[in-house]
Amino acid sequence: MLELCSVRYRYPGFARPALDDIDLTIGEGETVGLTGPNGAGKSTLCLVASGLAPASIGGELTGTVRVDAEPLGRRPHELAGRVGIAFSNPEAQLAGVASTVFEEVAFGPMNLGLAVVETVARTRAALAALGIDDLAERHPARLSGGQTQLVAIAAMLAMRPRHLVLDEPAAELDPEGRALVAAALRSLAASGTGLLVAEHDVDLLAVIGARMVHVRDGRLWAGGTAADGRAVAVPVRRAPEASGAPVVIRCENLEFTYPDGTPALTGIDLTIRAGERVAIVGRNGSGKTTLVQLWNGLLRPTSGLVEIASRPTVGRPVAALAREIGLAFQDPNDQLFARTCQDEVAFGARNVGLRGSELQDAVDGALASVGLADAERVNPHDLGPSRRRLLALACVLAMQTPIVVLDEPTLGLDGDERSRVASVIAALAEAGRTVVAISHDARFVAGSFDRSIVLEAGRVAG
Amino acid sequence: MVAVAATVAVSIGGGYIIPVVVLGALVIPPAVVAGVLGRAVRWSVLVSLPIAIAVAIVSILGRAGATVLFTLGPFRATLEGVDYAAQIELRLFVLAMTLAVFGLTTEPRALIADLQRRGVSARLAFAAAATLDAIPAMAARARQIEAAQRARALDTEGSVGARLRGAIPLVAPTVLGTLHDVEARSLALDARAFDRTGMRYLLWAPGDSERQRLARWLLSIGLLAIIVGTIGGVVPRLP
Repeated sequence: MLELCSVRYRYPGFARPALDDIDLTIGEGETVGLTGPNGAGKSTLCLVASGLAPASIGGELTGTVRVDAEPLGRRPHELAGRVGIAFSNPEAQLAGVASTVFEEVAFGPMNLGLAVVETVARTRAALAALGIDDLAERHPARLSGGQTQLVAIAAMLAMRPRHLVLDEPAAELDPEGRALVAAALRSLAASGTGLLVAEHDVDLLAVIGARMVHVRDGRLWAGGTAADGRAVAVPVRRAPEASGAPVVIRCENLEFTYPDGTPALTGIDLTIRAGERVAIVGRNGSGKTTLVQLWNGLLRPTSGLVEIASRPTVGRPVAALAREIGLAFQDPNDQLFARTCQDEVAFGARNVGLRGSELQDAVDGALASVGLADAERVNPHDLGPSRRRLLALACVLAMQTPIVVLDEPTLGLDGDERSRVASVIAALAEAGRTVVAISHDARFVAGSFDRSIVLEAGRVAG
Repeated sequence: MVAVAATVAVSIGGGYIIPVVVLGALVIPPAVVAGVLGRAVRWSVLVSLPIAIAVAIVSILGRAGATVLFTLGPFRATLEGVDYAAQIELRLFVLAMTLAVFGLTTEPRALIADLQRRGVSARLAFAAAATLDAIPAMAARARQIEAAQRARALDTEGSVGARLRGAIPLVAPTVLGTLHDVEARSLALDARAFDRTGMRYLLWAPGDSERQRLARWLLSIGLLAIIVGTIGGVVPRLP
């Protein structure tokens, strides 16, 4: 049993506690789902429950965290065999030096100094527990997102913890990857492992039969609501494209092959008209991001045609296409560099020619529309991950392009933040601008878009 | 061992013969066998070019010598300066090639096993291998950041001035992103008991044949001969 009694935790350098008055018990084979807005303390609670806070990151903990009535150890390797933790980004959890999945999973037991026979036995058992024995000889860097997350969880299991803490384990996964993780978690709980799962996706928590606990302002609220065990199936809308409005994006027999010879897109024919809201959906690796990077000239077609605003992209510099089509990348950390949010948002807008009061209005309007008006003087890297994503959206909005393309705009956002993104998209459509979003978020797609383009293995499937 | 021998030999011996022999005998053959020669040359040129330009300017115009080739204001370009610049730049290129071929042909797990076999601590061996593995990952991240900034109309295809102005939006996210990654990776490693000191029993060890051991002995003897020759004045030193 994992018990947190009267826990209060303060990060190093902060006066205010991030968690206060936390009492939580997770029994053997029990699954507890942790929900709540971003910044409420879910990830901190995961770190405290796993012992990494304070053992690894410092800070001050009062109260007690115990496993089977024994206090958690003070050094990270003393914790590893008792409570395991997996994070939302599966790639960041891999050791990075293994040539096979088997070696990757064996990394933890080897660190414990176990004999080779024991390490091999534990590794085989962990892979079998998650049903991924067939991945054992694959290279860890060549797996899908869902498979990588399962490998990260297996790597924890191989250390034989009594409890497992998972911080948004399915956040970056496509529906197939989520299903894999959900099935694995159900199986783990059935085998007696206690699970604490922080997640925005209540459907996933329902599927794994979690007891819900809500975190707000660092405290637990109204826990104990049982899930009904059924997810809500949200259909992907495939309405016909609107007619009448001018075509702003056209692809004709578009093909793209990467320089190493990997084919990414084949025979893509599609049109998107002004004012449409179109979602691009499909599995990880199906070619969604490649497609939108062909639109703004970051990639050039191997063959076929891409037209933006009735002009082929061939021969047009990316900086010129950026005046027509604004693209927000999936990882906001790939672009943030300025000292203040205001400067960050102004960067792209200035590059496309806005000046003076026009520039100021664009920046203020963009920040206000994503709810960051109060953060204009804040350093972007002082914002939490979800607010950084909203800032990246503001950067594209301020460029005032007729076409706005968003790559996974709701990734890691809580309910209120997702509603805000939905409002921004509705406002853009109202203003006659075209919005295209790549998304795995079925509810968001169903609620905010007129139609979907489904990509499957580099082809339009529907 | 090949990389160590190549690096030491090129660093201590003067003249043109040693670097050319090292390049031809120790660096190019393994690169050809592994099929990485093209990538290694491109990487080495890119890395050594900025330093090579600076060395050329300082050496040719700033180094004293008897044979004056031409004058440029107060500066005199001498044949001795050209000779010195050529020797330094050849070495820079060979060192960059050695590093590139080492990075492109060494499996991280083989490096870990070999370092541990030589008594290096398991954690230090892992750090060395992870560093080797991080180079392509950082390059991929840099490409992603460049794409993200170009999508915000950053001009990376225009004049030199425009490219210089675009350096901060490219460099800052690379550095900050790497720091974020280090933080995330550090937590993940702690969660996998990496902080524990002491022996690790590895699942795999690279092969070590009679021929490999013989090659190492020959390399060691050759290296010793170069060191002794340099000290004794038989092998030329850098001017």
